[in-house]
Amino acid sequence: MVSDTISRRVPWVALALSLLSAGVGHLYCGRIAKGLPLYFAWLLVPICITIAAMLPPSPALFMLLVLLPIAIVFFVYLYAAIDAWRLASRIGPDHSLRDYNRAAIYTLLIVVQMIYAFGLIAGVRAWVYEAFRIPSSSMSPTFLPGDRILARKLMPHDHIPKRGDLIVYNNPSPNGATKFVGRVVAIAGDHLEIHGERVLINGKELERDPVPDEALTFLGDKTQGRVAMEVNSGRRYLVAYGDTSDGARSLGDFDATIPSHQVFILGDNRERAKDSRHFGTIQLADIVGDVEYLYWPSHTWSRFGVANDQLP
Amino acid sequence: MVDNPFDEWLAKRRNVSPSETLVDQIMSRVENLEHQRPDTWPLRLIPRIEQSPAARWAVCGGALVIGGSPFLFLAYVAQLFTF
Repeated sequence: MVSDTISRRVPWVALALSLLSAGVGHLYCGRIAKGLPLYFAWLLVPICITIAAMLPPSPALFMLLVLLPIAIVFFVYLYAAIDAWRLASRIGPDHSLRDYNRAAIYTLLIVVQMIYAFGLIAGVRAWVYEAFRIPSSSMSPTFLPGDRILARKLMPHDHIPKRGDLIVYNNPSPNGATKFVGRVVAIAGDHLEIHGERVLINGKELERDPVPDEALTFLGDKTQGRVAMEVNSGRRYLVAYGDTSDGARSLGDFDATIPSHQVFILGDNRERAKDSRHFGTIQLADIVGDVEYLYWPSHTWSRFGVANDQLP
Repeated sequence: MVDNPFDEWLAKRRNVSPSETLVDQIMSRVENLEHQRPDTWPLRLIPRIEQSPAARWAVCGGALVIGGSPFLFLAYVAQLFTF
């Protein structure tokens, strides 16, 4: 409701209010119809990211439903600040005060937006997608040190990973990082044998095809040893062997049937990874999420996109 | 001594005290107006800040830091930087 009281709109106050919370500067200038959509722009991020998590991953989908909404919200924030400042300059001293032109309402709106913006981001990280930075070469050549990956946590309750899936899981041993990235090599009920470099699942050795060096230029000098294309239940992925530089671990032998509700994990850099050969199988309940995107590759942007899709 | 009839009337009116009802009505209106007035402390603060460009920059800078903090948190969650 418009009151009879006339008040001046101060441009820098409109700018400060809009910088605190997009849209509040417009409310200060009496433009509630424009201010409210700007105020709720942050909602775009969790809605779009949740939709992305429910669809099959693709680079286009990632850019459209993850990167674009974040960019839109950022530009809305900048636009709202500039527009509120210009609006207040234009209105000058002739503003008829509205019911909502009160300091208490501005404060409430700013506090609510802060809470919901932080809450939405934390909620997305807790239940939809969580980002991780790869600190070591244990998953090389699939992931190189410094790569940033996105693990999808929004999964059906009864989700069971398949052989060849990349997952993030809670480290069952007390030492080291709290979460590891690894590849599911065998699932519950599989009989797994590991003899040195050979991996046999249900008595059948995993196929390995050599990869020509010229196809591995994207690795730079990030991986030592031999790189091969391993095939496990139709899933193809790169693995590295023979990296015996400092920090290498012995491959060891393993012969067991995987218990129910558990999976066996191997790192793709077999000599350097700490995985199920060292701490045993992983409970399904300890799986944090499926690795879906490599959104910030450390070495070359040609690797950007869906994890494990950029194969030579 | 009052010559003019109007001045005479005016002097008479000035000597008459207003009715209590009228005083109550006026005071009640004044009190309501006091309640309806928006908070005045920001109104008093704004002209003071407006006089100093440094204060204006400081307010807008502070607002940017607070309002931009969700973006910083998003960058932190996206592992673009770590503490």
